[in-house]
Amino acid sequence: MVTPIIQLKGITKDYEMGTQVVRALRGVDLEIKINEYVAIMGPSGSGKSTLMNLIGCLDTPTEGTYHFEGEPVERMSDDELAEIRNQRIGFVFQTFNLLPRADALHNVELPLIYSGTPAHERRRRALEALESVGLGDRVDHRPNELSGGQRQRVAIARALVNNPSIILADEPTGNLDTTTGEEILTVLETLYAAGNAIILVTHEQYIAEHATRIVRILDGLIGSDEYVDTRRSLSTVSD
Amino acid sequence: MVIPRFVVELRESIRAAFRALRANLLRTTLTTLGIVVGVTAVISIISLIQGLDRTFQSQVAGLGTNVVHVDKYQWSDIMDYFKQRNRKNITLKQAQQLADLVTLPTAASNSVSTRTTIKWQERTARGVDVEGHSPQGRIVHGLDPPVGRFFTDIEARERRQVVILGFGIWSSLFEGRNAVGHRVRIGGHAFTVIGVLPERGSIFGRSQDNKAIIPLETLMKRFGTRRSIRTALLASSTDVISLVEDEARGIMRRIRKITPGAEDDFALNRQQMLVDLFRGLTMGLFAVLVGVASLSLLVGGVGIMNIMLVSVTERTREIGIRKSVGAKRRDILWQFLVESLVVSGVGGVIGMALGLGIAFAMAAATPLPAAAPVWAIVLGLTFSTSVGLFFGLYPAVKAAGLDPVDALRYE
Ligand SMILES: Nc1ncnc2c1ncn2[C@@H]1O[C@H](COP(=O)(O)OP(=O)(O)OP(=O)(O)O)[C@@H](O)[C@H]1O
Ligand SMILES: [Mg+2]
Repeated sequence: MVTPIIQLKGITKDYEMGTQVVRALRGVDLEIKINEYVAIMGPSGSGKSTLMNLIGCLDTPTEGTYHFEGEPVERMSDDELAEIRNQRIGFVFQTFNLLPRADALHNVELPLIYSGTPAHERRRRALEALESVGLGDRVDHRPNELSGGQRQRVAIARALVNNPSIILADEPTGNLDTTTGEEILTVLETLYAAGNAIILVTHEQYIAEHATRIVRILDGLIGSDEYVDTRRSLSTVSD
Repeated sequence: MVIPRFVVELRESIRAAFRALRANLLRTTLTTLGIVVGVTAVISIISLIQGLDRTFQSQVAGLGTNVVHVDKYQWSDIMDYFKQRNRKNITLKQAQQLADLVTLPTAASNSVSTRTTIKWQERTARGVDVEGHSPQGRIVHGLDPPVGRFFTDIEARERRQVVILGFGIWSSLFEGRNAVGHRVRIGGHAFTVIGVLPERGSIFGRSQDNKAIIPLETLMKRFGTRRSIRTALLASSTDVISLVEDEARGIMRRIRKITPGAEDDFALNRQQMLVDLFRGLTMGLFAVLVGVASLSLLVGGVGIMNIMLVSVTERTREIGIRKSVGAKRRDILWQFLVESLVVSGVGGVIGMALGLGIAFAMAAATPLPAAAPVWAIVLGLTFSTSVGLFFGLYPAVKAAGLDPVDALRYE
């Protein structure tokens, strides 16, 4: 049996809004293994982003336990969480979240800076990552000099530059037209084929069909969890 | 080669700081203004004080520590100058009486000066301070010419026309050639050069070498003077200096026929008085300096804090992005601290350049001297960066403490 990269047990997340408490997650159990391509679907406000932020170690749960690569996240310090975000998780956002004043190269270099990679190696690896998403000729462009699809590809290059074990993408195509969205999905597909685990949040069924597994969230709980197409999966995903 | 993580991040911080500052150039410039003014004040005033101090030391050194100067004016009393101006001059006769009557000093010497022209062959030196001295002036004022000799008692008594040239006069008239034995014309009268004084440099922009020394009696006979005569009394040690003063005061009061109970119409001066006067002036300047500097640095600091808080708010999303890709609290803390250090440092450097500029411009345009000690520059920069560090800390801590999710969501 393969140890899951991600193991969530009884995860809840409450947001306090003054006197009111919003229960965004109400007890989620989820395991994700290496080489899975998981699509998370669900209506707006069901808690998908909340779940992604928890998985991405950007946020901490109210209750429940979370083991990342076998290690309990609750016991980690701020710095250790930062290190996980830096080295083992790549995050892709719907709104790209690039530094507006920095060029593509510098944006992709950012995670390497925080892992203390020396300048020449940083440059080499960032260029490599940009090449791999097909942006080798746009390295000195700033985000406002790039199209939406190109921006998202820069963000993907940034997410994969530190060779993380898992890439989290929260509606990465949400701000893009269908064709550009397809391009991004192709890039993710390549990454999956190269051996990365991918978790993708989407509203579109056709996008979810790219995945090996679809998890549906309803009202802060997992509604369904099914494997789409075993042909596509490179390893067995049964427990 | 392993470069420490810290160095890699520091470089990124500095880069990010300059990028952010360039993007808001006007705002940054305005923010540094307080720091600029503060450091300008510190550097220019310290440079002036230092310059004054250096000049003062060299001037005062010539007066001698153990000498009491009997004069019409009290040197330390600039305020009463106009009152003292109405006093009767000390005449040559009175001065000579005083010099004859005192018993405690090891030597007493009278002097007065006038301004005239000295010529040798076709060369002319104008506006020369010609000082008349007693023969004892050699001992009391330390006027020992390394070339030639001082005049003798006989030469003084017989009002001989002999002169000891100051270094500057000698070099401009004789251009390095031997002068002793040659005849120069001082204010139209022929004088034989008997010695040349050593070089003394300039004080308050005025050369101390642009002078000539002749016997006092010769000066009175040839040029006369309407100035008051000064008497310098040399005490054998600092211990007896007040005894020398007491004796001189008693004798002067008798000579000047001052009724008991009336004020002195002359003054006793010591080198120490000038030192004290100077200290007072310097302290005043320092007080101004400290006031101006701390006020403007405080204003500058608050300005920096304000602008950094704005910057943190504006860049909340950037902070979120950085945190989401692995920046730790201290990385963000450093980034914003470096930014405020850069702002204050830039202000410090501008202020320093302005301060030095002002000091040296003043030195060039006025007789006031200037000197920029290294410690003042270090102090100015240390001060400005400390302000940046201190006032930048709170915004930086605030930035570092932001929650990544909240920061990313910030619009
Ligand atoms: N910071 C917050 N403060 C208060 N409530 C929040 C916060 N973030 C999320 N919520 C609430 O938690 C619930 C889940 O939000 P979440 O963003 O996870 O939904 P989502 O499934 O990603 O929706 P969408 O598809 O629209 O992106 C919502 O009801 C939302 O209002
Ligand atoms: Mg969402």
